[in-house]
Amino acid sequence: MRHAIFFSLWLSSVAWAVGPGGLAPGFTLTGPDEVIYDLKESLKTHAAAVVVFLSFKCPYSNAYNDRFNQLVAELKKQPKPTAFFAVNSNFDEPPSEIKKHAEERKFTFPVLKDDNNLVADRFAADKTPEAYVISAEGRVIYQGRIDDDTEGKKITRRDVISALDEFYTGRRVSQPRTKAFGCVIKRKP
Amino acid sequence: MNSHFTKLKRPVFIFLVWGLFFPALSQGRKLKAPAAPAANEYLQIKDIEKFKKEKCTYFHVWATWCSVCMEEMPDLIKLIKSEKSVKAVIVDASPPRVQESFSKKWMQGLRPGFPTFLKPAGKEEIYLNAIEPGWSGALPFSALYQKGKLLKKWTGGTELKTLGTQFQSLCAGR
Repeated sequence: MRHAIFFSLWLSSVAWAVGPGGLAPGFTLTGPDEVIYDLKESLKTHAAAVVVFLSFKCPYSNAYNDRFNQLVAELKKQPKPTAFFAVNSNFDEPPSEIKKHAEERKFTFPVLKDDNNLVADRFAADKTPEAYVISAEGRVIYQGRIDDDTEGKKITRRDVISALDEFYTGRRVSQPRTKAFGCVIKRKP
Repeated sequence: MNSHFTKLKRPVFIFLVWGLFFPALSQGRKLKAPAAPAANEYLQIKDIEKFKKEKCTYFHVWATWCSVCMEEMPDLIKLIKSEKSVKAVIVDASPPRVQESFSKKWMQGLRPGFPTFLKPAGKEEIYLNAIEPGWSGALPFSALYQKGKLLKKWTGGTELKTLGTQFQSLCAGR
């Protein structure tokens, strides 16, 4: 009995990293347009969602600025409705500067400020840029890079789009997890 | 007698000439700065495993765009220089064009006194996994290995005092 109590205490103390096959945590964030964005609500009307952690201070993330817009445009062309959430969890990037950066870069999507990095903590996300593709059932079907070339010159695989292609055609996602260099998410001390 | 003197003259002459010019030659060598130990070698994937198996290896992966990496590097190098028990593998993961235009010179300017490394272009995911399979790619990244076994790993800035203590407790005398 005592062992069972200890085991359950241990289980509750372990921070589970969200990864492919696992359930994505829900979140509600307010956008710069004062609109409330809710992942779980969104998945009621979308077949999948893409959540991207980004930063305007991270050159690796900034290398994707144009490709973020391209990604959003392609998500609109998917055979099924696909939601997109861009989340900024860095404590040293205030909402006003995020908004300014988004306007300068002509982002076609709102960047949601994750105050106190709660969403990053729930996802156990540790770097930017990083993408999660989530099915309507709330499962993570892909986690990792957006494509296989940060500089965007020699892209041979567009991982987020490939994962969605496979998912929407009823196939198993062949590479559910990928890695790339990125900037560590600066959490509130 | 005369021929004997002639026989002696040649080595004396050579000795004198050598005596005159050798100090000048060696002085000339001294005028040049001592050659810095090899820096900025490419760290190939096959070498990563080899380094992991050493007595105590500290891997540190950084890039120029990472402000934390740049700020902490001079002090990190000072710490590593003072810790002889640790094999340091400092890897610059900046893009190749940045390595060529800036980071190689920047690292040399810090005069590490031990070899530092560059990540070769491409094969990013294989490279990340070779250093530590559980590492997402977030920079800066540090890991301490002992004879192939991972002792510690972390992403983000390094608390140098803590690292010094870890070097002492985990690596020294083993």
